[in-house]
Order: sequence, then C-alpha cells, then structure tokens
Amino acid sequence: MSVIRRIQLIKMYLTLPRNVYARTYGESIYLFNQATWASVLIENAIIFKDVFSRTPTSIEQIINKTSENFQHPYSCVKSDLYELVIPLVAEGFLLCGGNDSDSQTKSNSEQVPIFRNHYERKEESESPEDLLYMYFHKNPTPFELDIDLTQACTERCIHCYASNYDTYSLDLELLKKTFGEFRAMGGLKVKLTGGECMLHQNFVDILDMARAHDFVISVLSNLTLCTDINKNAIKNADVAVVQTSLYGADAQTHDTITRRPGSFEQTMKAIKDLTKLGVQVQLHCPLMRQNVHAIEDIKKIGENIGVKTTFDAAIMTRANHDNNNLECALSDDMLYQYLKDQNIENISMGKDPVVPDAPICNIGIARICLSATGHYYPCSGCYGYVLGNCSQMTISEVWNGEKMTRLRSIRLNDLHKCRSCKLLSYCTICPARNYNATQSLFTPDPMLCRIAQIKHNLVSRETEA
Amino acid sequence: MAYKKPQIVAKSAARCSYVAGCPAKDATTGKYTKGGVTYSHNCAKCEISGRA
Repeated sequence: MSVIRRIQLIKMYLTLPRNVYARTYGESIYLFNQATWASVLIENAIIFKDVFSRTPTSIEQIINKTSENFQHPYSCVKSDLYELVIPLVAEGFLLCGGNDSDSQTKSNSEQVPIFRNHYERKEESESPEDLLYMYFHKNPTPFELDIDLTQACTERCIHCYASNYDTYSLDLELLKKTFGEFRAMGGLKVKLTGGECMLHQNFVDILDMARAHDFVISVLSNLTLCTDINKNAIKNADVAVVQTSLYGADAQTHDTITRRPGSFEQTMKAIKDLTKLGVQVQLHCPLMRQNVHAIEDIKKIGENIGVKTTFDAAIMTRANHDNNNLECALSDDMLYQYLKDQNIENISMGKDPVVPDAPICNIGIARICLSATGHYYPCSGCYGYVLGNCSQMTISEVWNGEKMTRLRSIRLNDLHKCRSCKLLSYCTICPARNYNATQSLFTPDPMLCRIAQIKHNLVSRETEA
Repeated sequence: MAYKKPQIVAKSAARCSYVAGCPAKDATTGKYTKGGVTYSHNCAKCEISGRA
C-alpha cells in the first residue's frame, strides 16, 4: 500500500455491501456474505464497530473517534484499521467509496483473543463458524430462528412430522416483537417455514419485516403457492436461499408422496422461475420406499437447473409421537444399499472419539424455533417440547429459562441406553428425534439405532472385503 | 475496555450452494462455456448464480 493510496483512503467512507451481514459476539465481529457464503471472524473488532454498519462512515472519523476513546496513538489506530479493512474491501466484505453515497456502492499481539481464551484451537484451518460455535457453547446465543408462520399446508406428505394442519397463523405483531428481541440478542439467521409459509396472509409483509431487521433470510416452502408476487417479494427481500422438497423426478412419484395432484408441476415451475430471477434454490429429498428408485434422476434435475440437491434417509416421527408416518421409511436392505452407494469416506462411521461429558449436539446453543401458535421449542420438528410462548415471555426469558438451560446441559452420560452402546460412534444422537419417537429426550429413537446398526454392518463388510 | 489490535482469526472461502449443479467441474481450466458464453471459474464472482 503506497503512501499516496493511504492519504486517499483517509478521506473515504466504509460500509457493508448489501449481501454482507455483521454481528458482534463478545469483542469479535462475524461477517457473512450470503452471495458467496464466505465468512470472516475478526477478534477485537468491536473497537471498529462503526466500520461494519449499513451507514457509510468516514475513515477519518473512525480513526479519530477510536484514538480518542481508547487514548491510543492516532498513527497506531490508523495502521491497524488499514491493515484490517484493506483485505476486507478486496474480498468484498466491505465497500469503500470517495463519499458516503459512493460507499453505498503499539502492538497488542501478546494479548490473548477471546476465542482462544475459551478453547484451544485444534488446527489453523478451523472455519469462522467452527470458532463461532465454540464461542456459543460457552456463551449460548440465539443465532438462528426457525419460524413456522402457519400450521396450514397445501400438501399432506406421507412422511411429514407435522401432526396437524390447523389454520393457526402467527400473529404479525407478536412476530414483530420477536424479531426485535431476536435481533437485540445477536440473532442473524431467520428461516421462514410452516406448514406452508406462503399460506400466511402476511407472507410478503413478513419478508419485508425480516429484511428491515437485517436478517439473513431463508424460506422453506413447497412452492405450490409461489405466485409472481411471492417470487418478486423473495427476490426483493434478498432471500439468501429458498429450500424446497422434491420427492421424485416425475409427477407420479412426487404427487404420490405429497398426496396433492399437480404439486410436482407447480413446484418445478417455481424452482425454475426463482432460479431465473437469480434466487438461490436448494432441493431436499427425504428418501422413502416410494422414491428411493429416483435418486439419480432427482440429482439430474438439480444439475440441469443448477441447484444443489441433498438427501436424507432418516424419517422423523410425528410431533404428536404417532409413528404411522414411518411406514414409508426405507427397509434395512434399501438403507444398506443407499449408504453403500455413498462415498464411504463421507459418512461418519466408527471414527470419532466418544466424549462422555461433551455436549452431544448444538441443542440450546445457537438455535430456537417458534411455532405458529407462538410456542418456542428447541429444534426443528419437536413442536411438542414447549419452552414458553412469545405472547407471555421474551425470547431472552425463554433462552435463559430453566428448560433451555437443562437442554444445553445434556451430556452423553445422561443417555443411559446410548452411553454404553457399541454402535455409538456410528450414531447421530438427536434429542429432538428421541422426543418425537419416545416422548423422552434421553431414550433413543429406534430409527437412529437402526441406521447406526446398518452403518456398522456396512463398515464391517467393507473392511472384511 | 482496553485497546486491542483487531485481527482476522478465521476466514472461509466462497462456497456456493450451486456446487452440485455447477458446470465448472473442471477447475483445472479455470474457464467453462455455457450457452456459447465463456465464464471464468471463480465461485466468488460466479456469473451463473448472478449474485456475486
């Protein structure tokens, strides 16, 4: 950086680009670019907090203010700021302009940064999210909020964990209050789902409200009601990603599962239209007896449209503990064949060490969910585990309440059947799935046990071979 | 609060949820062609998603 460019920089302004979001955690700042999914974690960045704002701020003002507030030499502050922001501007995390409208378009190395205070870093390649979640395990923060805007749905999928489709819809004023509370606690990501979220009569208003709170928004929808108005609202609200389920590569397979004739055509049209608009779409396919034959064809659809497709073979028991929906789950032979067809290196099988007193998952650490009736619950799908209601409690009261505190204290030692299980290292323990299947967080979901057994069998046979 | 020098402690490269369907599978050439147009293979400046 030449002296001349530094002289010019001092007269310039900095601001966040439209696609970049900033949040402060402790003394650190996390930046997330929803267009590229790149992210950065900056320790001690709170001293330059004004840099990471949607209001363009003069570099000269930032240096003067920081120098004055911290009684730190002007030249050091200036050097530290330049060292920080120049790479961030180069990589698209900040905009730098000659005036505020343009930008719309002594060493302290011995001090230990807060994230290293909490955990020893295992390797230098840890991602910002790895470090962030380490911080959240010490300082639980509602970082993600999943919202069921309504229980009503246009489909009746045979595998769905929803236990009723009443026409409850979340009250707009309560939602506004919740958004404010969530934002104040450091919340960044909001997922709008249902039921079918576009059945909420204020769906477009809710998108606008989420945008006004500067959230990274994702929409989980079957897209059967994705009218031009909704498509344009999604585009205009800068929705980061629209996730939708595609159950088959043809109408017969898909509509058999949704039990709504015509749903395949509606969903496919909306996927294509949204993609054309530049909205990022992801496909998800829960695997069942009815569609396991179609995996390759579904992958091809995703590839042809240019969207990512993921599959999941574990069906979750209904939220009211009724397990009739599991009749469609893959048989043992089907599961074995599906897992065998995956890259075995990508499946965690008997490799990870088991730590009895470590948290078993991220429950209560960074995510909270809100049902259409206003009930908070801890993880996707387990509506029945009510933590409190948003009409009577703030999100902070729920987050710091007794139930949530108990959830985040769950350790492997609490799961008596699991802790001595020989399949443990093949298993993905999930208290939410346990709760739906067995009405207890601590009694294992038989579906997870079955998958762990099949993984074990697969590894044993592959090793022998 | 004391003054501490800010530093970037972790950075993730651009990731794209289009990965599965990305036509730029051959990263060695650095370019790919779609619809008669040649694109550079750079996820951070992806012309396919049009969102960079």
